[in-house]
Amino acid sequence: MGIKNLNKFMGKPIEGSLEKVLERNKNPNSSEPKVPQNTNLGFQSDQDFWTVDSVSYNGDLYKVDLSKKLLDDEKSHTQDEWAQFSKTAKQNGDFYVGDFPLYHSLFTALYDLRDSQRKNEIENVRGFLEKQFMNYWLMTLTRIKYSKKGKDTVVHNHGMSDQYEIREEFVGQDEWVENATIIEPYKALLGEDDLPKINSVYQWLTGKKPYLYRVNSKPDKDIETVAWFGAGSDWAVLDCNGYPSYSYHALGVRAQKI
Amino acid sequence: MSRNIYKNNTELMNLHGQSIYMNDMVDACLLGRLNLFLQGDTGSGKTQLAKDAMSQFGDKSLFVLGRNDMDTRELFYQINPQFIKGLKEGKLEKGISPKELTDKINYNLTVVDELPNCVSAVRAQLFNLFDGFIEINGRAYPIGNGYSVGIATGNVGQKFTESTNELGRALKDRMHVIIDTDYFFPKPSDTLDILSESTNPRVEFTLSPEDNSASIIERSARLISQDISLDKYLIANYLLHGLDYCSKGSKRKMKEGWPTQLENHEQVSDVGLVLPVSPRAAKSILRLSQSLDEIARSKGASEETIEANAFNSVIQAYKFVSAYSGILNEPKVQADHEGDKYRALDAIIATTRTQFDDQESNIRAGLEMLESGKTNQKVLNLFKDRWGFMKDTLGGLARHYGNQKSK
Repeated sequence: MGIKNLNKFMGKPIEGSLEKVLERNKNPNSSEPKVPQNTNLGFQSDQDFWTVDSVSYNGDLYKVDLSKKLLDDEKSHTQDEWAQFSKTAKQNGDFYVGDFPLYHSLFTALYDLRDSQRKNEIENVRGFLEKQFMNYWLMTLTRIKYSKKGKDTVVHNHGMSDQYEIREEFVGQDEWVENATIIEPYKALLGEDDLPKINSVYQWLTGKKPYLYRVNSKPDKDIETVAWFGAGSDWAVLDCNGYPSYSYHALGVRAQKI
Repeated sequence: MSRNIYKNNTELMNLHGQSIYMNDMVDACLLGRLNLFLQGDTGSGKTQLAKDAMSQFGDKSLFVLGRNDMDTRELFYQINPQFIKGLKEGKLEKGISPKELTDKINYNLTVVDELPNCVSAVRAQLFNLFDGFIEINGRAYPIGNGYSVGIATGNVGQKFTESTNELGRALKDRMHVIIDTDYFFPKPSDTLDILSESTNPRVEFTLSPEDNSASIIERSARLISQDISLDKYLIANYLLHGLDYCSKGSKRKMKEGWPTQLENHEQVSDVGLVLPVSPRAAKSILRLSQSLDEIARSKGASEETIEANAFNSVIQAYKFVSAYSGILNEPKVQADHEGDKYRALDAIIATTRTQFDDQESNIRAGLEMLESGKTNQKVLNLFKDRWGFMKDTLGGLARHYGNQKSK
């Protein structure tokens, strides 16, 4: 018995790391986490971001910051590029791209706060999000591997150290969420199986009913797609059929377990 | 692997995208040759779970019902009646050697129901059986053809890990994985199935047990001889050394002073919540992690995913090896986590994950430094406080990189 994978850490090659770290180390302050210390419960607004204190994500409670501007000066990138961006950002305490469950959990937490004492501020966030939904296709770090046989795989936090997978039968007809009868794909994609709630959240955010796009039948060969969201004149789109080579914009989030 | 009468679809963890249930954990322990103690309330199904495991070993498993009036003589009789005969006739010393008798014992799995009922002398012999030997007159004789493992059950309450408890000390010493089944109770849909199938409250034996022992032993041997990824060793070293760090230098050296003599800010963090693991526990964690990977692999997890998620694998193994190993600050678990050790460990795991996320680039740089063959003090200086152990770890790893290059 010995040690294997000496040239990798967390599944990724170590090559190039030394130079990056030494470069970063020239400016020691840049490596300090910038996550703000915030002890108030509920919701706060900072100059550059909003904070929702109790976001239920992956079975735990998180404090989630949402940046008031799109990531990387509103540039668009492929999912792989965003994953690389996010790894660095996360290490530096900056905003990064979340997986679909994180965004959905944040939207749901905002929805739950819509009638709270902070409803005016929550409405500001909703307005911001509606604008981004309408103007851009917004990337997530969720990827779907459609398998030619057997279950498909939903990969969350694609390319990150906390990447995780859920195997589920994901292929199916595109559908309005309100008409959906099989909850498992939604559970796998969003971490939520309350279909009426999902419907309500996106209707509240965009004024449009959510619609799920996906690969409709078993492919001849295994294919991978990226998951993104946005809205058009008729619908809010939860799209699980995006090309990995396409570039999308991204909302900046920062989650801290509480 | 298991042929189950026991039903429980409550998820213990999701590993590499695969749900891991209680019976999977038992299978993982069998593969890793890790002794498993199932703590839990009476009638919760732990005995059924253990008997399901027995059904895989055909006639190569031994079932012992713990009783406080059982002595070692009765135990030996149950193991092999020739023992008692030999002892009575004095043949162990004269004609037949103990080895001749122990060679005939081919139990691979020993299941002890209600282990806490046994007196300490019997318990000690049972633990020896779990570990694959019988002790006679101060000498240890191997049994089980090189593969032996034990599963024990019992309801010993929540405080058995306290150091004043003799049984608790013995369990911590000899059982590698201790699980409180009450925290992973079957789902209502499971109990509906269980109740609708039969109202017989007795534990059921599988009617026609299969002998899959050869396959299990072969898989176990393969797993145990596998190389382990560097990630896992580094995480294990963090649990051994990183979690030992505190303002006083070392929690281990603080002895009884931990946690009360810690600084205030440490008492409200993981520094005051958990002690480092022991080297033996670290070995169990690595072994269980490898076994859980194998279970996930058999359920469809890809090699790529398994490799990329080594952290999750080790940290989940840590959770189940450590919850009842006595490393938690019990009053703090009571105060902050409603007495739930698994929840306390989830909090520690979250902190550990953040620690590794923060250090990931530094660790990579350290490893690349080793690969280059040149020591860079600036890189070593990146590792401070609880990460100080990495400096020495990198020194130790240099040898492996040297070996790799020479190949």
